[in-house]
Amino acid sequence: MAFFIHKKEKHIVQKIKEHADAVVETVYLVNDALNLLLEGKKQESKEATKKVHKREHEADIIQREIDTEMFGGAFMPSLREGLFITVDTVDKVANRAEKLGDFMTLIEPDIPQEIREDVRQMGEVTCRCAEKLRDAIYNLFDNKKDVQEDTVEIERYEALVDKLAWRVLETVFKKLDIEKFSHRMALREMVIHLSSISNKMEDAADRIDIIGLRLKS
Amino acid sequence: MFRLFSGVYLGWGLGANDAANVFGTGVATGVVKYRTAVLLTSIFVIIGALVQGSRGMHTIGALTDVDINTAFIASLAAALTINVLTVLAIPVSTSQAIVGAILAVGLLGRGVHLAILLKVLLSWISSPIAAALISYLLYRGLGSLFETRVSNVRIWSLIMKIGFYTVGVYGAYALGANNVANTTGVFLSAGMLTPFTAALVGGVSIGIGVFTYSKRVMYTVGMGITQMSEFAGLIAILGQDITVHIFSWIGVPVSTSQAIVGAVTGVGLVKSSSAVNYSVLGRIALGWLSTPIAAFVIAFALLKLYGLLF
Repeated sequence: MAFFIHKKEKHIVQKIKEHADAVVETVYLVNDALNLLLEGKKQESKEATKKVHKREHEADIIQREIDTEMFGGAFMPSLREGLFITVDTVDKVANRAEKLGDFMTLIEPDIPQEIREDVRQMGEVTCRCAEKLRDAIYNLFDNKKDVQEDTVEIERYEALVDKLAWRVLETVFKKLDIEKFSHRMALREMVIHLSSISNKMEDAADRIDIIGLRLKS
Repeated sequence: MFRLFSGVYLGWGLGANDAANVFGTGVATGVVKYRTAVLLTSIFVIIGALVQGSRGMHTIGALTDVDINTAFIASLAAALTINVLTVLAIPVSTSQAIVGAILAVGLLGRGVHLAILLKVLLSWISSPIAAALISYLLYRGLGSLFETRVSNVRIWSLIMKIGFYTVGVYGAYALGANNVANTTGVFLSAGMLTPFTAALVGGVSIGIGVFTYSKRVMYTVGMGITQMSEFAGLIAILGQDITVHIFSWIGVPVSTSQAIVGAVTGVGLVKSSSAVNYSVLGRIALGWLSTPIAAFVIAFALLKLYGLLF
């Protein structure tokens, strides 16, 4: 019985890591779509967004498998609950990436030259943040001592994205001469979608921190 | 043989109340299923009683000279004390109740063996202190080891699961070994039972109490302990188990409830010197006084009544 549970838990850990991989890849794919949009390649950006959808869907399937297997009684109940919530929060990162992709596909906002570098940087930092999220999840199961270091980094990257978002919005609303207000609002919405990805990663980092604290003696 | 009923009744109450101290946290945290907990507790209580229960029985029996009738009254008085004080929400201990009742028998009979009484009193006072000390040392030693060596969540989970089962089973064994004397010790010294049958009847009656009526107490006590981290809770229960087991070797039945309070305090002291809850310690002291006094008074009244009637 104990051996069976041990094996099952190992399998769930593998699935949680796979889920993290899928979510991080979703973030990378939406960043690709964003970069294509920044280069003015709208059609290619749409194609890239389809890949985001596909990977996000795969992440959903893995999440369901994790939930079903954990519900069967793996791990300490308190830890099980923490892992349920964490995986769910991590999955929301992929959902946010998908939303950004949808927005870019449907609205196709023209991105003024003046803000392109900052938006590109936002995407870049979001990817780095996603990498750290993956590290934190892996380290929960490999080397829990490093988890806190990872979550601190996630918070740092999230703050950086927020700072860049603020600068972009300030430029859009105060410095740029954009004719239509709806255009400004579309740019604002895109920036909010983009920054919400790292916000969700910060939420996931908080959940991971809580698990880390629970393990303390 | 009907006189043995009072001992069985006392054992039933003991099982219903004290099983919570060994498996309560495991059950409340969901690691151990309630049914599994009561089954394991019942089995290991009986094993503990049979393997190591005789020392405590000799101590209880040696406090004074009892016959079959006074054994019955002492045991009944202890059981009634447990019931009355539980209803009044006053902290209660079976070990202290039976000693209080036996003292009444001794006072109205052939006197009390003071050396043994002193040994019992010293054990009562020292058991929560010993539990605090053992838990403190365990938590200090194992806490840092646990944090540095256990490098991932899965292993942590596995260790905690195995830990809750292990300390639960060990605690049930220690409970049986230590507390069985409370239930049938007086019948052994009255010559009504052999050591084996006394341990068996006592163990089984505790087991029945665990099986039939321990659920609510188990959850209440368990939830109280889980206010701490799971590891700290585990260490507190282990500290209690070791303490109760040590006193089984010494041969004095002690209160598992008081041992667990001492153990929780010991764990708390590692984190902060302000972890001592003086109101809880006050309740222990109240239990030291109220339980034996109440049992003494009830036994005294029953013995007088018996003297008038027969």
